[in-house]
Amino acid sequence: MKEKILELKELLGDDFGILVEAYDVDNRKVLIDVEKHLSNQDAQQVANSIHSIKGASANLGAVELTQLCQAMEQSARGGDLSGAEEQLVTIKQLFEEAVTILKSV
Amino acid sequence: MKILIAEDNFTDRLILKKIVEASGHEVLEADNGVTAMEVFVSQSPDLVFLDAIMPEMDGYQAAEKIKALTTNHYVPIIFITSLTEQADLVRCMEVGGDDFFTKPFNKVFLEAKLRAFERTNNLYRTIEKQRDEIQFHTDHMLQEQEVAKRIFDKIAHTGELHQPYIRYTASPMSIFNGDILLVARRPFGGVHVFLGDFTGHGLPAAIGAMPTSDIFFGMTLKGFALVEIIQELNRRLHAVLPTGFFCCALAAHIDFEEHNIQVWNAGLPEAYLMNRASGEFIELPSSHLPLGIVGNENLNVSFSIYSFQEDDRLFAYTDGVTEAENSEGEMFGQERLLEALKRGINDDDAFGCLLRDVDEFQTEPEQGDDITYIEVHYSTDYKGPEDEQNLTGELSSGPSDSRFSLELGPNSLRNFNPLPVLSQPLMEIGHLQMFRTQVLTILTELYSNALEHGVLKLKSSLKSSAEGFAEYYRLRQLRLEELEEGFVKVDVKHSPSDNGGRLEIQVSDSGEGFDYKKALKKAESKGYSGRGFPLLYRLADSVEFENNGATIKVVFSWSTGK
Repeated sequence: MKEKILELKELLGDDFGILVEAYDVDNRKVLIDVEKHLSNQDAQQVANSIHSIKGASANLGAVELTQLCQAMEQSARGGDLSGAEEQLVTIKQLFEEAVTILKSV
Repeated sequence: MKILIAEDNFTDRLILKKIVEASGHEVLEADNGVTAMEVFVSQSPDLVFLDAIMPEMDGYQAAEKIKALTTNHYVPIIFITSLTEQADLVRCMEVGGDDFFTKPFNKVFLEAKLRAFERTNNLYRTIEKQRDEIQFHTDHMLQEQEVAKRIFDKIAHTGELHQPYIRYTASPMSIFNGDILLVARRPFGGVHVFLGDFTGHGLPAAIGAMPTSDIFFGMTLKGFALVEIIQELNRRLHAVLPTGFFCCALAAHIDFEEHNIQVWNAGLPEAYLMNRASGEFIELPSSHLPLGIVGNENLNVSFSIYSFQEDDRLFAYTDGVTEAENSEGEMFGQERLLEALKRGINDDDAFGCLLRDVDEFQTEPEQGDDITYIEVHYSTDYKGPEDEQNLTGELSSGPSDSRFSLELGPNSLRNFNPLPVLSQPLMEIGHLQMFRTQVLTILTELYSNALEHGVLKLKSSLKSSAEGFAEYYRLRQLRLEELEEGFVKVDVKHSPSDNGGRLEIQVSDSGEGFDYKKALKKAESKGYSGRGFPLLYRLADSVEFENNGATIKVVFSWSTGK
């Protein structure tokens, strides 16, 4: 992940700070949305929200986080929310780790 | 390129924007489908990145809308996707996507993609520009052709084609394939028929119609003989047409009173003289070079003469008829044509039979573009040309008080037709041109009588049969060639009157004269019908004979009645 982030830092230059801030703030909001949709048992909205986190995380090289998002999105897309609560906990953890790494670069 | 990035996720959009900008492109941004469409319409980007899943309007809908807006203009759409389901990827393509770009973004890969699309875009812009140019030129050309067609339609199929004794077919585009069909009434009886087929297609083929039509009608009206008209047509077309362009033509002079037809076929398919009663067909094959190929010194204008009676019909056509194709690419051919004519001739419907056969044979009507054919029937209710009624100028303007004379020796008699020259100053006199037919007829009858009977000593009784007419014509030719002495002298005098004028024409020849008293008695007994003296008696105020009939003096008074 670190290698990918260095590459992005070079590409973005001064805007890298904005990227880090946006990733942190935006996805934190989306995670709240996911919880809300989960409590409403709205599987499609859960999938759409996780899809968004997945894309952004993929671009930052957060491979494990991306894979977990992918699995959760796929289940939700199929209407299956049985493992969602559990997956969401892990996703939140991995997200915090990703933000920490981002901010440390 | 100007590139629109429609992506709702800020971080993804930011990264993509940076990569695209680093490649030297201008970036427009949108964070949902609705904004994307607004930007697309107002900024006209060259390429669009679309996220498939976006709020408001998703990427699929946006792609469909963009493709609907750009039917004439190529704007590639690249879907940004982290979708992995095959069905979703297929859907991206089905709504009009041109490519994918998957997350995580790969800078090197994207730059290569953009270069590829830039090449494609440049190619499309070139094609679009060329297409617009072609469209512009095509529109322009079609417009010009439409105008030209309207002009040529008035030129190419004109004259007396509406007469009841003529049936003809000329397909709408035939003139653009170089076909021209003209029929003109001669001022002193009979008709001139001209069917021509210029080489080539389109405007170059049609352009020759202009001088041809002018010469044909102008010279016929002024009293020139068909042989002189053909010579003038050839001279003009030879001078005007570029090498390789020429005009296959059939020209005929039909004399309804003398019951004969003179035909000259130069390069057209074999024409036919058909007899309704006997079913007999006489072939009239081409035996001359088409017009415009050789100079007049090498042009052979010798006519074939045939009888043309009650049941006779002349049929002529251009090769578009036999070259008409059916759906298998097979040509109609001369065999089918002749078969149709023969099937129809006894019911006097050869023309109709052929028309139906060709129609049936051709499955695609567009192929029938250059079909032209004509059938001329013998007619007894033939009328001379209508004289000019819309006159300008004064009643007695021009040379209204004048006299002139013309004397022709052997060489002039052989080579020169004086009738147009004699009539030309007369037609300049005020409103005398309202009587063009009468004046030309009187001049023609007097001159041909003096030349043929007086100088050449030909007997008119020969002309009673078609064979005799041919013999008469042959002898006329022969004696003219051998002529060593003799003359015809014409004196013309005109003086004005209150509402018209008085024309005196005196024609003398070197011959011995003839028994005009006997001829007059014969004419009287027949009620002054037919050509020759009876016709003169019908038209003129007085006819006087002097010098044993070798001098004839005719007075023609005219008045407009105003």
